Amino acid sequence: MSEEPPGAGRRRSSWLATTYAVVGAGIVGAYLWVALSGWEYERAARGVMPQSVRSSPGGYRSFHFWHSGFHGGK
Amino acid sequence: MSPVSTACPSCGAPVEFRYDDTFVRVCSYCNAVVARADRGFASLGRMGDLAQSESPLALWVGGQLGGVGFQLVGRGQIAHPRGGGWEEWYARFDNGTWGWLSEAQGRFQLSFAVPLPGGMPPFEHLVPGQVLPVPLALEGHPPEQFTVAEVGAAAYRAAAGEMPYRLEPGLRFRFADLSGNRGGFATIDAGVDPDDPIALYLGREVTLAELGIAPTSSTGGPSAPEPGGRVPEKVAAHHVACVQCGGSLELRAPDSSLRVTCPYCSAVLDVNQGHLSYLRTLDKDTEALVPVIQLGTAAELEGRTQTVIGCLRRSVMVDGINYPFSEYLLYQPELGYRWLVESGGHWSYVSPVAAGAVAQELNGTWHAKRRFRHFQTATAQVDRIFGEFYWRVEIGEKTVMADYVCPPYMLSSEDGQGEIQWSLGVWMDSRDLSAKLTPPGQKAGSFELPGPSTSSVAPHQPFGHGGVFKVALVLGALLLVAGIVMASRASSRSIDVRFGEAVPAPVDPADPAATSIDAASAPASSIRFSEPFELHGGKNIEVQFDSALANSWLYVQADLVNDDTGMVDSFDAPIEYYSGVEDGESWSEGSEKVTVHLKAVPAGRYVLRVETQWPPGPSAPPLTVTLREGVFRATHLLIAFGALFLIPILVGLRRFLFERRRWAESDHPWLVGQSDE
Repeated sequence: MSEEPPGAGRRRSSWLATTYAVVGAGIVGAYLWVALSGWEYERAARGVMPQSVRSSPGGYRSFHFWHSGFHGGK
Repeated sequence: MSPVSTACPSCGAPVEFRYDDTFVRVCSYCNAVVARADRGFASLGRMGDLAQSESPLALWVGGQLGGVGFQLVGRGQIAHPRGGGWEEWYARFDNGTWGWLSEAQGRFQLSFAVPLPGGMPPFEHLVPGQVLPVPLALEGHPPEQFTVAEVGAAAYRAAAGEMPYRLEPGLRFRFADLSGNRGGFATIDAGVDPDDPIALYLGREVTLAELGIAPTSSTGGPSAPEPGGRVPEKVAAHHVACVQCGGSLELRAPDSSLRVTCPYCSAVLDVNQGHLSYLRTLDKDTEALVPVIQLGTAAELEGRTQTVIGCLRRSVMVDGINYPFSEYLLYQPELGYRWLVESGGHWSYVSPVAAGAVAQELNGTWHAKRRFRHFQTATAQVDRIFGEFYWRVEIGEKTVMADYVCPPYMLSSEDGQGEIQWSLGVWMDSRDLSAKLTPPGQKAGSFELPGPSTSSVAPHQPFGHGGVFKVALVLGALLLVAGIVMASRASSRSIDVRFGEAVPAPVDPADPAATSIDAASAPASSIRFSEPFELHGGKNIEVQFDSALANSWLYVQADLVNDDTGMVDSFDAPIEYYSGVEDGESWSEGSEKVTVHLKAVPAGRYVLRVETQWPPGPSAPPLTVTLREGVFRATHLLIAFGALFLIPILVGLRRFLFERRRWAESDHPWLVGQSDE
């Protein structure tokens, strides 16, 4: 029984497959980083509010409150 | 065992029968076949001289198989009906059995006579490609399904030593070669006449090491001659003169070549053991050929240096269109013959396959655990020839070819003249192949074959980027596992957030709307602070606002405040929900729930400040706030999957077009809206 010719048809590796392997591994890695680090794409603004202001409920109004412009949809 | 000596009835030279159970002994001086007779010995005629071969075996060499010793006591050279031939050695085992050791192209097959099983079809009914209805089994081996590879008649042209049967020079015996699906082989010997008994020989491939035989020379040199016998004529690669024009021809396989063309006068010459005779002259315009690969080119394939010795131009006619292709014959003494096939700039390296190694089914075949799909069946015709060939090739010679593909492999059958031949081709990139070819007088790597056009697709050309799918499969599995792990690690722990009393939001004196006479129609608002709560930190945070709204809205602005550091994450969440019935149909818009995800914050004590605003009305809509830390984000996983599979999807579309082009030239073209047959 004849066997397949060894090595005669060895194909060169596809550049696209190689590139995709790198990019794909990056995507999986990015997902893991996002999931493990608790990263979120958010609109929240981060800042520091002094204790004195926090001690006075109603003493300050949030940035969002003045600038969101929301007044109901109907 | 008692040796018997006598004088050759033909020449008088001493002839010795070493074994009691042999019928004939070939005189080593005159090649007379001396047979035992009732009253002494008789000559049955004379055989031809043994042609020298590359066999590493020799007469009277001993060996061992399965602990039983044997000796090679006879040798026969058999002429194939279509030219060429094969060699058989007769092994007498110490237990009295006889084995047939056939040799072809450096491979050995040992067979033994076995009883003919019931259910075998008559010899006259055997046709190439037919599968025997009964499996055959060699002792100690599992049963095999056998396929008829060839049916024909052959004759002994030379012999030496002793034979266990009556060998008569010149008689043509009928035979059928069969090939098993587990590597076994069988021969049916139907004798000379229809009334002759049928003998079945069953065997398998063996190595010289298995047989305990040391080659008589390191590279298959000349077999040892019989004591006192003539040394067979060695036919080495050599230059001969064309008998038509006197031009110098180089025979690269003089032992086995049967045809050669003269490059000077285009004469077709018959080759008989290196001796030439004129047959005809090719028409230079329509039958001669100038090959792309020069004869004598060395090809480094299968780990051996093979030599290009001939070239054919063949063609098939399909739907009135002529499809030509070139076949280059490669020769290497230990490997035998191989092919390089070119069609439309696509190249294949082709090796022979045993008929029994192929299992046919509807629209396909199986070989080496691969399924090959039928591509095309057509009649191929030889149009042009150049160089030397191991069969009596003729212009106009036709065979029915069937091609089956499993990229990068193509399995092909050629059916004709009582024989079915299978071959396995593997597609090769023209640049890769070029690097393996070294034309005479040139340096390795200096030769470049023409490649295919970029738009053409060979029947067995592999899709170049198929590796993307395998990578996607692996990465997709990894991502899925990662997603499952993340989902299992995620906590669904709700953090108990308790709020104090809501207080009206202070009015900003700088806001004209808040201090105008229309202030009563301005949206109402209030502020609440939660009790401090602990966050573990390092995980995302989900805040869900739920309000039972009825055709209204609620605007939420929240601050997540670190009680120790004063760090504030400020975010908002507009909630609005409207519903009603219009024209008898209910409708709704918006949602009573809004979920906000915040990125991880440091561990610590936090408070949530929630400020709400709603339309002018008697009371604030109810608001429930749920806060969780470390939630699983399916959206992130879906986005990752989308990004991961974007490229494979595009590659898949390209592959679809690639496959459609491939099958467009087949007997099974893809139709619009049909992805497969």
